[in-house]
Amino acid sequence: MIYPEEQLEELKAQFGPGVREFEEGGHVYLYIPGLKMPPGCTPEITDALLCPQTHSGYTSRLFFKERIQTTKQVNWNGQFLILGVQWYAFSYNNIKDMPLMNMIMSHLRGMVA
Amino acid sequence: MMQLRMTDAVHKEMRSDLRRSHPFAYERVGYIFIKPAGGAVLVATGYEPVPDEFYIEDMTVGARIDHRGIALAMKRAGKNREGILHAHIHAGRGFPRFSRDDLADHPNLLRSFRNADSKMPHGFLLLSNDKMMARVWFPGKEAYLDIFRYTIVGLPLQYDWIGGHSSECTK
Amino acid sequence: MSVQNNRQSFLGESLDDVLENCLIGIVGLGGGGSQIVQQLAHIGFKHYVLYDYDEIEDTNLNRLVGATKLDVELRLSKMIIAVRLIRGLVPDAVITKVNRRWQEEPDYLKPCDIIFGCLDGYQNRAELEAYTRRSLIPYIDIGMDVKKVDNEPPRMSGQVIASIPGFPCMKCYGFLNESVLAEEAMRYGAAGFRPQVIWSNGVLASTAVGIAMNLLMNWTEKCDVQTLYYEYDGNKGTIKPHLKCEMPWKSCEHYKLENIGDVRL
Repeated sequence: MIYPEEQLEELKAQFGPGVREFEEGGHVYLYIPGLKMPPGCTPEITDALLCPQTHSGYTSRLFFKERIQTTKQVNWNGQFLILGVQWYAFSYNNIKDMPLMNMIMSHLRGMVA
Repeated sequence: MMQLRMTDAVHKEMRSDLRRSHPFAYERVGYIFIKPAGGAVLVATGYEPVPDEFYIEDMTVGARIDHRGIALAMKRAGKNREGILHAHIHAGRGFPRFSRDDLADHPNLLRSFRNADSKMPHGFLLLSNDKMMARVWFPGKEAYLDIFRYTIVGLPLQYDWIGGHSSECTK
Repeated sequence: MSVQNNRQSFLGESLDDVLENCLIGIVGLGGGGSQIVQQLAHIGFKHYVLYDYDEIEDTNLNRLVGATKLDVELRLSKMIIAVRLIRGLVPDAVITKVNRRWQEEPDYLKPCDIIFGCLDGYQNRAELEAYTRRSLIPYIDIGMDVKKVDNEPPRMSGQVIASIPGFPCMKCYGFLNESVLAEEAMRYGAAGFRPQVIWSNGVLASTAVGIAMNLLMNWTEKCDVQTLYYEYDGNKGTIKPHLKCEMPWKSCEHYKLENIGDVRL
């Protein structure tokens, strides 16, 4: 595990027991089922995958099961097959060196601010 | 056609363990853990031996294990969300066949395996000196499926592929 | 042994059975993929899963084996050209044709016994390798590149990498790494105008098919020491084991056995 156990527990407490860790290709992914999007986004809820490590040139990356319609214009430049499922990511960099929960919140903030 | 795949390392580990002699049991047993990879493939995620002390002395059968020998498989499968294949070897060459004693044990063992994770396939892997076959029950199904097609992935590939594949389609 | 296999009977007694029962996946039917299709069909493989969504263009004619000028005029798909080539040699071939990006319908690959990857781009390769490792399928990748270097002749290079579960992956070898993946991502995944020529594709495809035949038949009786990573120098006309083959290696940390199989999300 590349992060303290309690950070995973924090995610489970916040997002439910369905939060799980997966590994593939040397990357760790935290699966967040039913993550609520910021206000104004469509859909309002979707599954997400956090990679807290360097991935495709980004210091961390939050992937979504579908492209989200956001209030702020973002660049959906990432489409990846991870764990056998298609995921999408928008360009948002330099989220690093923080607990997992803060990482997720920071990425979500990137959709609206 | 359903098939089983495992790495050469897992295959060697399994055979090497099952061939070892036991202080009193005539046969050894172990567990191959599996996961589905699509609708037609089961992949082996690892092998666990049954420790010597988990065997029960019973001269009427090749091997009998106590509840701890079953619990160890259930514990791993439940934690890792895996299926369990109870594995042992019958001497001889060609595709092996379950003995009457093997078949008698299947229902109880299967019930235990399904208690570990009811959403995974479980069953029994039987090896001969040169081939293997698996009898697998898929989630929610009462009928089993016998799997004769397998690949041991290594250098070179070892396989038994008689039986072919399904029909073609265009997407 | 069938009459057709008479000249390749040295490969082993089980050849007829292997050709009859082995399921081959080929992802990408362009310059490299078309060569692999041709060779496998000539050898006599019967079962295929093919992926490509592209139509043939004029610029493909310099290297797409089996293609004709008429195909360009008719705007045929690379899939049709590949299927025509196979059926001309194996009329009763069983072919699953997926006219999409492989990532959109990947599950047809799972029953394959061997997969050849003839793709552009590092991310594409990374995803295909991850997918094949998850299903414990040997994956043989080929690719070439021509780089223009200031005031020097262009440099032609390529690779053949067999990513076999239980053996080093492309990340273990360093062929795939964060640096190349990041650089490609910054170009929005655009492979760009990639020079390709038929003869280098031929070398790479032949090497890949040779690896596959040894994996399947062990006709050399030395498959246990089969080279799994070849580097091609198109300027010197050499293909040889990559230095990385000599690296000390214990196990693949990128694709551990406990992570294989379908993911239940």
